Amino acid sequence: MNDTDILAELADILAAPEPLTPETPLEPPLTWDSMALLAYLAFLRFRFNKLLPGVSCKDFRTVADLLAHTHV
Amino acid sequence: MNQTFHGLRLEAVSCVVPDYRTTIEDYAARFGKDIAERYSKVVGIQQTFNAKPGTKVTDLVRMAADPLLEEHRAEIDVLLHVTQTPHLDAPPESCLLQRYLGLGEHVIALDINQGCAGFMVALQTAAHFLLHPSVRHVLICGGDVLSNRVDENDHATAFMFSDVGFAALVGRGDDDWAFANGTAGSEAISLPHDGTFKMDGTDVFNFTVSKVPEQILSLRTPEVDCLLLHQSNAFIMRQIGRLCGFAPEQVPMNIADYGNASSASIPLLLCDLAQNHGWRGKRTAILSGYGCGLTWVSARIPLDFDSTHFSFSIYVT
Repeated sequence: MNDTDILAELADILAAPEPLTPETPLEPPLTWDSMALLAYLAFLRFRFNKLLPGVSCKDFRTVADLLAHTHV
Repeated sequence: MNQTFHGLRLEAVSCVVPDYRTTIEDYAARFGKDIAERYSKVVGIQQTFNAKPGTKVTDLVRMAADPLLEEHRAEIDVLLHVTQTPHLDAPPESCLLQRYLGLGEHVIALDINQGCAGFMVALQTAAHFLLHPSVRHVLICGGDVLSNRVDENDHATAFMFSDVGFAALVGRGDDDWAFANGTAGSEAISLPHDGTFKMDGTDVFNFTVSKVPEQILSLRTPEVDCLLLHQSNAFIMRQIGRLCGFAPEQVPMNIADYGNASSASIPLLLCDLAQNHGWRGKRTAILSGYGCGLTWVSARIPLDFDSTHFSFSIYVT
């Protein structure tokens, strides 16, 4: 899965009205709340077989923070 | 630990639900339409049923258990009461229920405080008791009144719980029940004394998509045709079903109609399927309860929707 595909999936999770870039902040008009976090965790689990323990919404500030966990 | 018990039968299950509803529209009015739409899509709850203030779990249990006891009252040797919201710290509500339900003084009465896994913990405990020939029937009962123990300003938990009472009668028969259980010493889900329900969503999610599917798969055999999960969250249940290789139609949900009924969730699903969704005949199911503790208990159980008596009623508050 390349970054373009990942950004498309994240755009869906974040209900983004426009295409995302890594610099896009996780703030309105994006939806970044406990439910979006749940969807993001599921995305990591099923696409990358990765569990991310002990995180909360405030641990992520931009799309780049979300992308980071898809590369580790 | 995996254990198989022989010669058991689920004889009857009964549930009672109060008639006072809170709806997703009520939730939207409080937290906004956008959050409500997302909550509805992810968590899947459209309405919950709430007991009126002052209702005790024992009130719910009495209504649920009475229909089951008409024929078997004198044959109950063990009473397992599952709740995390007793109205007193002591005495145990199971002791009070011995009297309320008119059971004999010889009854072994125990409270089980295991939250959403509680019914499954009790089912496994009942199977253990029935290993002894002196035990004829085990009555499992319980429920929770949790709708008044949530933070009304927390959109993640304010609209989650229904207050449901249940009773189930377990006796001897021809069925084999296979169990797997686990617990992990976590406070990720907690109900502080005199406080409100708290949940660490990340830890709970990671738990439910790792430990729970692993356990379910350890019990899966070719004859298993449905997965009956604790109704926690539609999104999470879909992930568990997917990880375990079940088709969506094999993982029935009623969280939209009843929310999360805590320890009563699986009994409520069984009664709802039988009474409101036309389930008939024999099925081999895996039942799985998971929740605070973190505790997870699953069982592979043959179900007979024709011979087991399932009863579901809504009572006027």
